[in-house]
Amino acid sequence: MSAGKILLEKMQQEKSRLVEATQKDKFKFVQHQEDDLNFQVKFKDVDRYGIVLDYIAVSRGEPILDVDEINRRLSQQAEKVQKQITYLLEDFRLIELDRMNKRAQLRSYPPYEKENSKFFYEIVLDEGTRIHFQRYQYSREHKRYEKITSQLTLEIFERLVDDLASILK
Amino acid sequence: MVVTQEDILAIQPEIEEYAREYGLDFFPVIFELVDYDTMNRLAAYGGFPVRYPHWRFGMEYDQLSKGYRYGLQKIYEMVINTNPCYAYLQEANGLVDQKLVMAHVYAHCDFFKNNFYFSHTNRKMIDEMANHAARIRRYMDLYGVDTVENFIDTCLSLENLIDYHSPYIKRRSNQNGKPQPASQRPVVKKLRSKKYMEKYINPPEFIEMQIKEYEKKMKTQKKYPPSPERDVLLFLMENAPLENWQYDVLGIIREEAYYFAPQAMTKIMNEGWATYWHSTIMTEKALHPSEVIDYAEHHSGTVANHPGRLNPYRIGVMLFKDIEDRWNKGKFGKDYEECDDLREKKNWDKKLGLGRQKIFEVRKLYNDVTFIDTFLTEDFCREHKLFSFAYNRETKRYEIESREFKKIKQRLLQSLTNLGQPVILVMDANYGNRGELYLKHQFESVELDLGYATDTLQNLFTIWKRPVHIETVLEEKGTILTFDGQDFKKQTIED
Amino acid sequence: MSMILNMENDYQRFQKIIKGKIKENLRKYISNGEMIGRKGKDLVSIPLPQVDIPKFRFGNNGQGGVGQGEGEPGTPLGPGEGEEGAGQAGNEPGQHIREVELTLEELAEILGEELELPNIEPKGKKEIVATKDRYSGISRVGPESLRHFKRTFREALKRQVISGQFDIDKPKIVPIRDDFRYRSWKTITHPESNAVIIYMMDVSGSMWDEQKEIVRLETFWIDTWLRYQYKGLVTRYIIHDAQAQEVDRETFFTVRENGGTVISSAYELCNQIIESDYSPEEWNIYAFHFSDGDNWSREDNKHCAELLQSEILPKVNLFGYGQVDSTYGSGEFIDFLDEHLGDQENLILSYIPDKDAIYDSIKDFLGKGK
Repeated sequence: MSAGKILLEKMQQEKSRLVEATQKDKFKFVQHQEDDLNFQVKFKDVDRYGIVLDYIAVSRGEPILDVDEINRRLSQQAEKVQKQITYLLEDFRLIELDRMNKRAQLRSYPPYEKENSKFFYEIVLDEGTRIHFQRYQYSREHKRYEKITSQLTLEIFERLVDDLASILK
Repeated sequence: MVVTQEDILAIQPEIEEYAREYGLDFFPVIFELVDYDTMNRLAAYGGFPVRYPHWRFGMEYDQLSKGYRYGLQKIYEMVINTNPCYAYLQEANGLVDQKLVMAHVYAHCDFFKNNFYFSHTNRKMIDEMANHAARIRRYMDLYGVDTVENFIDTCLSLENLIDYHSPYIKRRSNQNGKPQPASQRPVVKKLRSKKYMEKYINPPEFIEMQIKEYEKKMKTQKKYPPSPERDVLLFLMENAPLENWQYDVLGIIREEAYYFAPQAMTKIMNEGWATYWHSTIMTEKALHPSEVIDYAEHHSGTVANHPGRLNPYRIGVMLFKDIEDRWNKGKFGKDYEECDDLREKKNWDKKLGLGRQKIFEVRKLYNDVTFIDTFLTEDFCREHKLFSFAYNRETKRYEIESREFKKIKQRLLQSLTNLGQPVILVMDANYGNRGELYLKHQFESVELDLGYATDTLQNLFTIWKRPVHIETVLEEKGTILTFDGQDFKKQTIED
Repeated sequence: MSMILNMENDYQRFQKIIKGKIKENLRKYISNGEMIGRKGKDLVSIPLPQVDIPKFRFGNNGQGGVGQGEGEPGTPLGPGEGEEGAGQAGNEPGQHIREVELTLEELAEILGEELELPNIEPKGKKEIVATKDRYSGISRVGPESLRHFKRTFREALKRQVISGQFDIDKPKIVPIRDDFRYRSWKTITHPESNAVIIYMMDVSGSMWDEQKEIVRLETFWIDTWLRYQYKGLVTRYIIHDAQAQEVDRETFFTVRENGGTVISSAYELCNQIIESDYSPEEWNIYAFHFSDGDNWSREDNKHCAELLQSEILPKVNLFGYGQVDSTYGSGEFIDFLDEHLGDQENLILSYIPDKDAIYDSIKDFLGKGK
């Protein structure tokens, strides 16, 4: 079974576990380890059709020691993100590739504009061994970036998890 | 080698002699040598050393001095229509060029003296201009610079609303043809005793009284004016509720507009005439023919010459030469016109030798419109490769329209008639029975610029003080534009 | 007839009107940099709406004319053709824009008047010793070649009269050593104001062309104003993403990196430049930083605040931080600075979400007269 499917199962279980009314609206958290890959998902809800997601984080246990290697990987990974993750609302574009801090930042482009706000996905690659997926809203009124949930179908969620994993490998 | 005033005075007799030999007839001519900057200033002031203070002259000067810097415009000389005739020459030109320019100037002076349309102009205009300036300065002292300047702005906006084709300025209010001075306006008599009134810019009673007089007049007459008036400025002077100083200022603007009108109406002829004579004098008297400066481009209103572009001033000299040729050869009259053998026409030469005489007659009797209308021929258009052009709304550019004689003539006359300005008449001064002013634009084929029209209407209102209307054609529909003091209205005329 | 044509008044009057129109439209020009053309080192050209006197006249479309030359019907006329010889520059039909030239100084004046910018009071101590003036001073010592004879004798006469030695019947003046006077130079101290602007810009991936354009416009206006206030003005440029680098003006506005954002790198470099080249006693130092505020780490924010507080702010007349909106929004750096250093008098924070906000931003930065 793919990591995505496993996670979904865990999410369902977690949801059923937290039956009390007060906990229903809270954010829930699940984890999964597969070989040297660690998956973390924070979500709000899951049902037959889709999930309300906060973030997905995938990381590899073994750190890469050589700095040049790290940066090389980062470039590669960034390219893969742009090429592979094309089924979400918006496509990804590389914004920053920080060789000093060994980090890459990709965001969806163009950001979706609605009323006085902008919405976009952000994927951050860290040290070549970590990848983090989150959706943001920037509100002109409050002049602030806020993490927001994204709604994905089960199918897309699965595919996304698999892609994030494969990109890290 | 720098030319000095003495040099000019030295060569003047020689050139003047040649000019007289050819039959040119002029008032005494006084030449002055000036530098580029002074020439620009003079040109900005219309050739007069003293004018009333106004920013438009500063603007003119600004445009001229920049134009020169970019090499686009160069003023070779400046002549004014006065007696004696003052002519300003460019300091930087060499002696050879100065001779050429002087010959050119004598022809201009001859034109001013002899052309019919100048016969009623004030040859002592230098003093008159100075007088105007003094009066306006006085008003500025009394009522404030801004007030007076703003009013002048308003008047200048209406400056072109005179009867251009009238050869003399109408002075209706007085029997002996002298202008009616402000102090004799009938309404003022009653208030003469109230001396304090003079100080107030806007004595409400004064204005009110004028309005009341006007309303009385309206009640007694059926239609006012009885027939459409072309001299809108005069009409305003006589009927608009103006304070004394305003009446005077408007009168000044009108006087000056009438003074300059003949010059504007005979630009082509005058330049053509002067060019004809400077080249004749230089070549026939074999002075130094090496450099013949093309004077068609020298006047300050000209744009740089582009291939294909007809310099309107060149056409003048071309036509004069053509007339001379035709009258020498007898290429006119019924016989010639009815002849349909092209070769015969081409070789037609009755050896009449009337050319010179004819062009003198022409320079006396015609203005640009009648000049073109009478003497532009199909042969001429063909020979000089003339074409008419128009703005193509689809391709959004100017294109060659036709080489048909009729079209060419039409285009040319269109741009010359009424100085290329719309003809506007006062139709009704009691519109709607409410004393509103109703003007009409005599539409031929070209529409008014809407933006400018609305701004001008506003200025009209400032003077008339009641709603003003103008009937015209906009977007191909009969339209009435109105300004009521607050808002603009656009109404299509339903027939 | 003497030719002293006085054009001054009418010309000034016209200039005044032009100036008025520019002021009326200043906001537009500030937001729309393209409108201002540069003509050489010191001139700008600005398009102005009609300054003419309106009249009833024909619209430009539809009026034709007569030309001369070859060509079939339908052939377009060249540029500049199609205008009746009325002296108008070759414009599109219907447009009447007038280009007006101004010197940068005149532009700065207008800016100052319209935005009500106070003149800057430069910092006190920039007395710079100028070159020796000519021998216009008098000294009691000097080489014989510089002896001032008149003064010498005057001193001698004074002395003799005071001591009673002067005999009016037998006037004889004998100078002694003490009377000698010599020409000497004067040391003139010019209070000269020198200023330096250090511009810093975030060129990381999130700062795109639109953001750069805003920075370019702001810096143009800041430059214009400061140049007008200070006789000598030097400009330095720093770009940064995760690292900072000094560059020339051209590079400043064209380069694009995407190496992350570490703002402190720029502040470090800025401080270095000040320390090595510009002593605050002699220089009026201005620093401006532009960014979208997305500093990558909170730690770095703190580091920036430290640098500002302990190193940079004490040395500069003014530090301006302008935060622009990136394609994605605007970061929290400006709020962070406000929270931690909001009380610092010479730190000015300005939020510039779009071009229209430039006008107010300039007022923010320059409105204090620092």
